[in-house]
Amino acid sequence: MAMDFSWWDSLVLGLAAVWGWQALGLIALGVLVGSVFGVLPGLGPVAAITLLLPATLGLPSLPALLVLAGVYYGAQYGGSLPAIVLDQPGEASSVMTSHDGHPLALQGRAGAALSMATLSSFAAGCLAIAAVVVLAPGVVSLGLQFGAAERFMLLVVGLVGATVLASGSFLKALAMTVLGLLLGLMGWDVQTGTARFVPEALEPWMGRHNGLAEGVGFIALALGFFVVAPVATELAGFSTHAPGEPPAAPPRPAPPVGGMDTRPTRAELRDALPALLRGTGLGAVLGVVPGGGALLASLAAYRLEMVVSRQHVPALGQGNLRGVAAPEAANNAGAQTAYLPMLALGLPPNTVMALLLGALGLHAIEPGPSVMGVQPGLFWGLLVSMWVGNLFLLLLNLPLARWWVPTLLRVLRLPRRALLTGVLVAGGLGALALGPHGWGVWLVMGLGLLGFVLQRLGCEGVALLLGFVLAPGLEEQLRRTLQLSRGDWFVFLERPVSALLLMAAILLLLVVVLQPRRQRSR
Amino acid sequence: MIKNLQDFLAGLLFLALGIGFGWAATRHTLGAAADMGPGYVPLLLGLLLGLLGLLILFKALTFEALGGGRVAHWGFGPLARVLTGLLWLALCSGPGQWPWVGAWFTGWPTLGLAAGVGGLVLAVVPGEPGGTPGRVWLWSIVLASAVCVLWVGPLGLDLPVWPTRPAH
Repeated sequence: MAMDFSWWDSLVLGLAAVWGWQALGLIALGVLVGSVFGVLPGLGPVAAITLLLPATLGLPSLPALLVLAGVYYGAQYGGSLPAIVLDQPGEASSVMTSHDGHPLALQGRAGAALSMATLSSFAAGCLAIAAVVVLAPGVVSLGLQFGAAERFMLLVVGLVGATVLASGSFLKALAMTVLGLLLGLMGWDVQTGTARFVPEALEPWMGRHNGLAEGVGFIALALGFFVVAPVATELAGFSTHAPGEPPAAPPRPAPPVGGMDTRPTRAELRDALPALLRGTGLGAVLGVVPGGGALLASLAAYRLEMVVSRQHVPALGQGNLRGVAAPEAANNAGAQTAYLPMLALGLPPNTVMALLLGALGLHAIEPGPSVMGVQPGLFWGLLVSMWVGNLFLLLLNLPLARWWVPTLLRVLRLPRRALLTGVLVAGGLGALALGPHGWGVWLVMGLGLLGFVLQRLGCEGVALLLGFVLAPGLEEQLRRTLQLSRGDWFVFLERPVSALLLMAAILLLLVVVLQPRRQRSR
Repeated sequence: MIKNLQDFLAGLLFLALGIGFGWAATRHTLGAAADMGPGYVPLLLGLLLGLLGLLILFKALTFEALGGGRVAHWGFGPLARVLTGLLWLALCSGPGQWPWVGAWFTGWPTLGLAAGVGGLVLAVVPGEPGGTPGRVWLWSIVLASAVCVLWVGPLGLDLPVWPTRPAH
């Protein structure tokens, strides 16, 4: 890092980048869409971002990312609302919130629980972004010192880590990653100027100009795996949360929940503050871990809170505000710190970050430690926008709650089948926008079929997406390393940092192989 | 015998895909480690995928799974309806230029967005024995139209809304 680096200048630069009606409007749009999709069970930020990807193709890179980023943390706020009021979490990461939030709602204190959830999300989000801002330059300068061998190994560790922490069979997740890598290598190879795996008749479609490498393939893959396949799965009567199990019970008629206007008292706030801070810390750390993110963070924070607050009255699970504050703080903190490895190193720790990394690629930004130096406006603008977006959400969920909460709950009353149709139509039109004459739709159909079959065979699309996004970088670093070493594979062992990373990857693999039984986390 | 059907099929699929990708990779220049051609990394990955497929097959044949990994039904019916709907949408956007089959569609009009989305909704909404209540139809049409308006208006989708004659 250069000596003349200044936090103040960077933040002012970021603020200037997001100051303006267009940028502020797009942030607001992102958090609104995110909140709505966060409320809907089974349709989360991943589906929302996928649907928005083709629509943001026409925008410059920063505005596009502002919307997409807003969706992720908007969903963390939105998910807690049905969890508390209806005991029907809209988001996997807010399952833990319902354990204490819903009892509170039944005691007539729904408003208190909702305000607590919003306040802790806001506080944790702001603190976590501050942590990212403070740490990012250090991580970037570390990343810039890495050579090709280290970068290759870093990507390998990221892939293995995400595979290890994915639910379900480990071997299948690993195979999905490799399949994703292969799909990611299809199309135009910049280094040698060859169109790989492309039949000649398809050359004008998939070759130089409409190449898979230029992002058409990425959006089609996301649409196929995260829109078409889940919609078909749910129409077939399977729950998208746990494929293979019977669908979730239809939404019960909402029990009478009163006290939407209640607020937590000052004493309660003071009492929940340590829980909030514990949740923030744990969430901030787990957000960075490959395979972590908001979901793992909220689970871990609730477990920790059960241990720490075991002497507390009322006990956790019976309507304790601490049990709301900790997981909500953790999931939002995790959703924010996940940006650190993605932006600073080009290493996405979870599905949403992989989608955002792919979106960076669509705008011809090569992800990695160079982003901060080359595109400072984008880097700092995105970080500052998250503070702005969190502020929007605070306003929506506290002073404007009287109008906002009933509106969101009304969305839940839409017929499920109509919602799925709407989502599918949005996906189909997005696919049409990808290429002339319905070319994108063909890709989405093929990838949707693949995604559906793989899902029914118990393989998760997440690992495949990570592989797809990281494939070009992985091949490039491998090429460069072996070119420098004249084809000597032992270079990965001879360079200390690279050897260390290799050991970390092997250790991660051993942890899984030796672990007797893997739990289903989702 | 097969002790885990899901894993068995997944293993077969990965093995086939690995062999397929590996074979396709050998048709490109392989090069050497120091100077990789376009086929080098894909070949390695294809072999790795095949190997993983074999491991999954081995596991499926040796370790008994709960319920044998069998599923009640695969759910291909709804998938077929979703894919048919999407195929119709693609057909409505001018199939005359498609590779291989384009010649079949010469003189075919571009049916446009309205017909395409209408067909997609028709293919997806009905279902579940007993019919679909009117409220579902109403909301499906409302949501689908809202999405169309959004794409045609602010987002500027490059497709005629209503049927047009083929250009000569």
